Amino acid sequence: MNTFTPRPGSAPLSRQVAAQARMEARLMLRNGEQLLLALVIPVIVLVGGVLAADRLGLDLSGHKPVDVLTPGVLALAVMSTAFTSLAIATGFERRYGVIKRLGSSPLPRHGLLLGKVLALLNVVVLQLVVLVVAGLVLGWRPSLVHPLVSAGSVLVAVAAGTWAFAALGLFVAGVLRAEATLALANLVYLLLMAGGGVVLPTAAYGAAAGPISWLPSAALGDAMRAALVDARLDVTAIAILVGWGVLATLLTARTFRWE
Amino acid sequence: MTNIDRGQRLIPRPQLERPEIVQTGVLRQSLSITRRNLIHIKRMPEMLMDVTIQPVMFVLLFAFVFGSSISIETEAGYKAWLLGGIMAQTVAFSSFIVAVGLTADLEKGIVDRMRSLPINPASVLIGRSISSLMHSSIGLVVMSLTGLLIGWRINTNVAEAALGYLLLVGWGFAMIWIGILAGSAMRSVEAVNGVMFATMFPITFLANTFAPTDNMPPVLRTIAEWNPISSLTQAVRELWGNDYPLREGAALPLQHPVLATMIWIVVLTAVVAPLAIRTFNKRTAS
Amino acid sequence: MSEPAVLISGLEMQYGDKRAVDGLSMQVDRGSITAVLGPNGAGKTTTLETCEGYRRPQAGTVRVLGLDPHRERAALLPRIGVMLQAGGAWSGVRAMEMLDHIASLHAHPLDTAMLHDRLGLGDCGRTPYRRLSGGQQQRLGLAMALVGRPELVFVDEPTAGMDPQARRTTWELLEEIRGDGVTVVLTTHHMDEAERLADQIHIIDRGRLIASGSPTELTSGGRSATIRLVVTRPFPDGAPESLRRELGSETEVTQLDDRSMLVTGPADGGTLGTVSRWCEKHDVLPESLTLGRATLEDVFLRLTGRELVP
Repeated sequence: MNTFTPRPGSAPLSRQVAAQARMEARLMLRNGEQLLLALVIPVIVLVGGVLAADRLGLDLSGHKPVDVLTPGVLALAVMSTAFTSLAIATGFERRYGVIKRLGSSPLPRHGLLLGKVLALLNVVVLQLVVLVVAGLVLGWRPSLVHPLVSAGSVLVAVAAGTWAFAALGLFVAGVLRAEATLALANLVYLLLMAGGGVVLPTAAYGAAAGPISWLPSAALGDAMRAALVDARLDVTAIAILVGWGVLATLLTARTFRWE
Repeated sequence: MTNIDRGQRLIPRPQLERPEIVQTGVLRQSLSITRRNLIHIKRMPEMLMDVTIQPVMFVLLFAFVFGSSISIETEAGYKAWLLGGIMAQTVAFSSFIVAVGLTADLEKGIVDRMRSLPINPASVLIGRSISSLMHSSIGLVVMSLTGLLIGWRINTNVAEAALGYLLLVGWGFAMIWIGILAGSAMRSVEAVNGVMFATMFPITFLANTFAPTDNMPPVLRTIAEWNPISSLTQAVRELWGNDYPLREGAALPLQHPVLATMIWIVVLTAVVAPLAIRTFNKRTAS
Repeated sequence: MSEPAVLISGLEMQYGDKRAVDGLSMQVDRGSITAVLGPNGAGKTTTLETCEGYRRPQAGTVRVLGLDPHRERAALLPRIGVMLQAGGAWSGVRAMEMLDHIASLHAHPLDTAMLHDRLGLGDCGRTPYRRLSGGQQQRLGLAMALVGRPELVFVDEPTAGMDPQARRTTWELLEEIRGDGVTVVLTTHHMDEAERLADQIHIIDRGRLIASGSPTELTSGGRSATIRLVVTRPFPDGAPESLRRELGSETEVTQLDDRSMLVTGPADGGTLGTVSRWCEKHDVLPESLTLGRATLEDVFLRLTGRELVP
């Protein structure tokens, strides 16, 4: 057999997905500047929030500010990576022709998405570890009434939140040009951080609390707070996240363009 | 006539019509590049989001959602007070768009292309500055109109009002150099985005932009009051008559905000501009 | 295995008002190198992208290795290799890392280090993609198309931006893979490339196939000659018709622009004489008058009436 004699075939899907996830995670971690967004801002929000909490007139129903803010900041970190970072990275992948190139490789589209999500979860875990340590240093004591319920509920919330925000991020990146994706992803991140009920409990928004609690950001924040403050699974919030996930997945599947 | 005709015929003609090469000044070159950048904005109106949707949403969010829990002792209340802060934030974010635009141009090789033309290299930067100032000015107009709708008014005279706008534009000018520095120093648009976001976000929020510094805990209060964005915000509020008397012990810059803002603009430009130009030249020389 | 590698019949593709492909039919034989030539905007890339399954044919049928590239994409993709015209890698990824990644998606990939050396990528294995020169990016693109050991590769302008040495290396590699049984479909702007490499050439213009054949068939085996006439002032009206009348029916006259014409006909001295007499008679002063064996480029110009330069 000569060097180039055809011998086509795809690697098993699991191997392809693992390869894609490894590659994406490596590139994300190499883009250190993007990690600033993923780590520095949540840390600043946590420290600033804890320092200023008693002056903000928050309705924390008797809890220490750090106990309420830390779960919110964990939710913010998930949102920043799953939505903002993923949208921006995918927007530029389209610009650079990476998505198109992979589109002609044996890696199927769902394999690509699965690889992306796995890589994302890697980064999210790293973020959560750093932020949990930061929270503990600032005096955070998560509820230890039902540790298993808390841990399970956090896992469910992180999974549902990652899904919803990743699907929304891919939707934006698949429709808009790279620069517009960047601008919109930043804008949505800023707005949701300030007014999306992610860091602050929805109760802090007064009359606007009703509509805000339907946002995916508020749902993720509420689910994390329920898990870590009250040791319970917030079923409504999870259902809202799943709803957003389904909606955004359908939209992405219908609109995503390779180039 | 026939002789002239013949003589002309013997001169070999060039195959292609070349456009006439006109000697132009830096001003005209810069304006051409400005126009190119503006055409870019026209083609991608999404790029105006940072000076339109973003500040308007912030006004609405803070004025109507958080406004109830922040009380300001002025006649017009929190909404009018807030506006100066959001204008300062919008102008500060203008460095973001300069940096992203410049990096995108560098990455796509457009700057190299422009520098291969017989134009003064400075015109690329001047053009970017002018278009950025126009970009910010659109934001100021949008903000002012939004303000008028929610009850913000200028309660002083024309001269002071104009000085307020002038300070904002001057600030935008200083921020351009920061944008050029970041845009030339970093490898990719994503990198610029990460760094600019992670610096601009705390700078514009750890200030008196959205909430008064009086009630902040001591450490935060000191940081916020020495933050240049607070000087700018305070200056604009004073010049437009949207402020209230400062509490005891406010930091020095807040007591003389107009002067402090002018000093900041001069110092930032004097320090950052040479650095930015050096970085830009180094990046484009290789 | 006698079915063709690519079979296109009656393909139509339209973007808005623009008809990019207009009833194109063509065939690519297995084990051949087939060049698709055409001016910019002729529909080459659209046709290739339809074969690669990126686009769904609006009318007509496309079969690649016997499969429908859109409906049976999953089955087709592992069997083909694609080299895009530009890009296709993350800007911060290292050259070798990218190649290894694509290799890991295939079942029996080639040895990436070998491929890397064969393409003369030398010591740029650890260089980030954005720092590679245009020619190096092209070679990496070709390596990515070949690494999965495909039966059929589509290469879109493989040597654009390469230095002469790299072009030669690339040509030798393409000839070697054909020797090993891989079918190659390539688009190019370089006539010398098509003439040197291709077994079969398809010339398309305005979305239609206008000529097909081996390089020798298309240039009539060198029996025909071309004269390129460039003059100092624009031709008078009706010049090509008047010249055609003088030359007779065996010769073709194509006006390329207002100061140049291409005359193709039997390779004898008489034609040159006639052209020069015609110039004198019509008070036209030639700036240059060149006679040569008809090259593929002349055939192309005659057929499309357009220069090939990008």
